[in-house]
Amino acid sequence: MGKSKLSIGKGLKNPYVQYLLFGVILLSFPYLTEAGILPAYLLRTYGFVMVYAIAALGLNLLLGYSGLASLGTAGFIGFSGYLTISLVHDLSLPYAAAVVVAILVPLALGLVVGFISLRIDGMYLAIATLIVGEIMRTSFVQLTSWTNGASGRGLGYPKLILLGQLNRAQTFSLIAIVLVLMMVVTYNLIRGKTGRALVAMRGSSAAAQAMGINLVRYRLLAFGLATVYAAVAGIMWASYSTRIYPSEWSLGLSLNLLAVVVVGGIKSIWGTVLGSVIIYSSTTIIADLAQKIPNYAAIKSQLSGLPSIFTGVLIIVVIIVYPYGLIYIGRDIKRLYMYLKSLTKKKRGLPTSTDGGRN
Amino acid sequence: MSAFIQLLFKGLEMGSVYALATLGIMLIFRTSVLTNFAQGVIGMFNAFVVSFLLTRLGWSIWLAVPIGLVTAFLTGVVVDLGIIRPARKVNSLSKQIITMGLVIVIVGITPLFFGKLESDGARVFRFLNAGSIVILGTSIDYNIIFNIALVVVILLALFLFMQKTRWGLAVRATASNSQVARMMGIPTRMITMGAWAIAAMLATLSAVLYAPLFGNLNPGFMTSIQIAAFIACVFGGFQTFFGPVLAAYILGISVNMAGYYGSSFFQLFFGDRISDDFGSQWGTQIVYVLIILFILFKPLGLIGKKIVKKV
Repeated sequence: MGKSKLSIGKGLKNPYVQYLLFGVILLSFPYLTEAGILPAYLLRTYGFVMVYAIAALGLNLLLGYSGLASLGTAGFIGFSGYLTISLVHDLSLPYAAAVVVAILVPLALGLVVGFISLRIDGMYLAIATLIVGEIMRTSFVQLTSWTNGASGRGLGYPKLILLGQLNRAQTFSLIAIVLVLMMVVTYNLIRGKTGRALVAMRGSSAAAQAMGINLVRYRLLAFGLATVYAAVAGIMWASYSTRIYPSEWSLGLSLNLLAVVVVGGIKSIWGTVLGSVIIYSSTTIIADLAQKIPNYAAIKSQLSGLPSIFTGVLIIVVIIVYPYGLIYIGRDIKRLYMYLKSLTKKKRGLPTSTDGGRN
Repeated sequence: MSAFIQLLFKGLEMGSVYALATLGIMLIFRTSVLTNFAQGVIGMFNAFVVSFLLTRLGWSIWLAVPIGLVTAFLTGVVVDLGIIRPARKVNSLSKQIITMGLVIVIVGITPLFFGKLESDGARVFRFLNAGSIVILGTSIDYNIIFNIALVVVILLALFLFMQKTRWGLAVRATASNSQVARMMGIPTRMITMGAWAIAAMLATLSAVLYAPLFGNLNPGFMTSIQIAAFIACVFGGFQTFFGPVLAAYILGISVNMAGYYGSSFFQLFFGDRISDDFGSQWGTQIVYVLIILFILFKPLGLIGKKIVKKV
């Protein structure tokens, strides 16, 4: 009996088992909301939380592992979103084909940004990517015949080859499966040769080069990968929301994704997921709580900022207290527990004789 | 020709707004080693203060703006003492995320104070309401001339302060190497706090100058200025104070020019067929693409000093 318990515990430590379990939990969400155990709005909120997590995973590869900052993520998410919609509706391509094109075209653009990163880095690179993002955003605003301007454009839930037309709950499950797949891919990437090369590059690009790491290849790879994640997030975003608007792909979204990575945990897959949950679902929860304040209707416009005040304060406090991200809080609690345990042991160890006497 | 002169002055006016915001970002970058994302919103918040004094209390703009600058000074001090100083052990990237958190907080706080004002239409008036001067056959508002001149005077005063006074020397020393500066007995904490306060005042002034051009204020009205200021910093090079300010003026003028001439260029080639999509707003993208190309060939900006990195 004891042996089997041990093997379950061991199994849980295997990251693949963890990801699989996480996937199963996510897949149960639609059933739980249908049964009325979870409130229905959670399905909407967490669908988007997963989309953010996908994009943030890519950003974490770039920022956490390779040390390259990007502020253009939102532009790429929007670009692939519009591409998917346009390919499905304007060219009436099947969803799967549209997905492939909507990943490949932004990827080409991402590689161009990768080339920019060969010339500059640090804050210069971040602002150069910001410029790229701004060019894309303003283009979305002005290409009204393509993006339908401020009235937005919608894809509708995707129609897959074997499964046919999906509904909202099934689309949620699709995003969950994609997220878990992306987590597994990320894990494999960072455990392998690529991950080691990226981390070496982050430490010192000169030293990495001296060790025989091809800087051009891996910088392009880092940007290419981040773009693919952003493109996948964009496709999922377009699939899950009724309409997408040019105003969504602003600097604010890129900054929020950056906050997800930093608050959740740099160089941590679970940290990225945790960060997405904190940054994006806290807003909904606070807005929900605010409605319970008496006299809410009268002061509604004044209180509209409460969720963002909460998120902002959270970001600031977490960074000051936990500079490497909240995910490491678990490790610290464990350490504190061990420390306290050792303290009590010592205390217990000394007065054994008196203890024994009392008993 | 008339259109050109008009565009040139409007570009200079926009460039002045960018220049103030840019100089604020540079001051903080050089003293605290972080790019301040909150520069725009700090200006936004204090522009709301000015708007409150103007429209609710009926003050004159000549009184409201100085009071707005005082509140800006206080905002800068509070931000430095309350957030930046406790976070001094945090690495540079995370500090930038902190200023981003600050953006979210200030955007949330603004409706708490000014929600009613915003829904009633918050405005900031121009300094000079009437009158224009004819330059080379083109009529230019006094206000445009005043704004341009005001910013030039402020920039000159700041540069003189930096170059000629003991405090200016202290700021430059902190900017070049804060650790060594502290060892030499320069109160770097005080300097950093002062930099935040002055940067907040510069931000507020740029917001006050930009507000009449924008119309009714909202919490996001300084975003475009913030982005343009960042771009000016990269374009001009982070190593000097002068480069980014020069870049800000170039950016202001070229966005205006490219918007006007670019759209007529598109119309020349494509006619009215696609004029819906290719309006005058494409100036921004044209200029941004050119700036990216420029950075590719000259990564350190207009006036960039090469920093030798020792391995």
